Amino acid sequence: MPKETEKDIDFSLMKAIQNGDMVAFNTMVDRYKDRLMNVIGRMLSSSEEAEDIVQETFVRVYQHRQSFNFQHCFSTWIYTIGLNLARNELRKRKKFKFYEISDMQGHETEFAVEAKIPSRLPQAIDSAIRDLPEKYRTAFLLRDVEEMPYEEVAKALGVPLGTVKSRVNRARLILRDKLQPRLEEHHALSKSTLLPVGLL
Amino acid sequence: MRCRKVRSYLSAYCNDEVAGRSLVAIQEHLSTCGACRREESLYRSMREGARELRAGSLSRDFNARLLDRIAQERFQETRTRAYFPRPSVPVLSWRRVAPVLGSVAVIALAAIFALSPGSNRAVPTYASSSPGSSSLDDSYLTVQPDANPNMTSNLKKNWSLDTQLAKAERSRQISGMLTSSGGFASMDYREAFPWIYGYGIVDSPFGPVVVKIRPVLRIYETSGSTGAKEDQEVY
Repeated sequence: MPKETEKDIDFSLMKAIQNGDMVAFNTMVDRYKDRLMNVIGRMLSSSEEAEDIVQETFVRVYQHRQSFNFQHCFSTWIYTIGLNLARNELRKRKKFKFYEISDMQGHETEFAVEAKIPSRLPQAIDSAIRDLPEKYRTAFLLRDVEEMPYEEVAKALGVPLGTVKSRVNRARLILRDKLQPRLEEHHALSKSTLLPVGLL
Repeated sequence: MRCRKVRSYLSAYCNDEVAGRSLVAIQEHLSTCGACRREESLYRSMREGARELRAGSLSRDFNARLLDRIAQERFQETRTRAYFPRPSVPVLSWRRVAPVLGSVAVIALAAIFALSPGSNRAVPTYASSSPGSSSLDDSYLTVQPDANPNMTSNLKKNWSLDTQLAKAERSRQISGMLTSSGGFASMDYREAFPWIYGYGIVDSPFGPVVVKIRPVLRIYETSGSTGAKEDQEVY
């Protein structure tokens, strides 16, 4: 018996959701909420805003459940909804600039934060990803963090395949240049101690 | 394959995105080039670090809050369907109705304007048969008498020359009747009774009648020139 793929599971859950099965909907939420938060949380700086966007994404999925096209992947569809909502939020922020109270007290703290390099590699990568331009950041997150195929990333972002490949490559080069000292340090330590990456 | 070319492929190579002859060529180069191997290790570390990234923590009651909101959506949906069923006939929208209403309004306004009394204003006719007035025109009738410059205000817009001439003729006749009749009417009542200024007594087949008199413009024609004279009119 062939193993059921992720896509098949999504489709069967989606059919159940279309028939009004709320347990299936809850299962779907559990499958995708962390993945969405992983991407959207890094697009928006505030975790509360990101959580609101993730919630809104699932609400939209429920509202438009009957219009889901089974010709496409569910993951592509839900990421498209989530990314569009996150982009709208970023656009709103460009219109209305929000300032933290700490920003109003002077720029000393800002420089101190910029100069501080996270000691552990994942945090350093996380910080570097947040500094990427939005189009590179989204492509990198979907491809290298969520490990989506290039074709699906292209569909979710609505850009040609070649553009996605180019953006992902460009993002990797930027990150490599930015994180070179930390990566070299990590490489040297891992050779000597053979610790898992997460503990470094 | 040279180092520069290999390094351009390294990020893709470390993410298992290179295949075929390129893959073999890169592997061969890496087996002999220490600098490129070190570069490869940087990319691999970065890849592992990216995979270690954890999602931002969602609140514990995320599912509960979401399902609560979905329940509200469903309730709203059900209530809307129950109370406001989809109408069988299409609802008229303003976009559809506005042009029709606009056209109706324009037609109605045009009809009102066409049927209004002002539109039936007769063009003044200059009766050639009127006594001594065949060649008079507008400019002549706006002339004011020297003695009473406010006279022109008595001329109505819808005057006609025939009417004015008829009034003048009547006034002349009444004036003759007043002066020719005896008694009270022949007195200079304006001086004797200033409060009844503007009224006079006229003989009629049924006896003397009090009439209202007010100044009017009397139009007449003299030989070679025309002019105006203040007179009285009886109402």
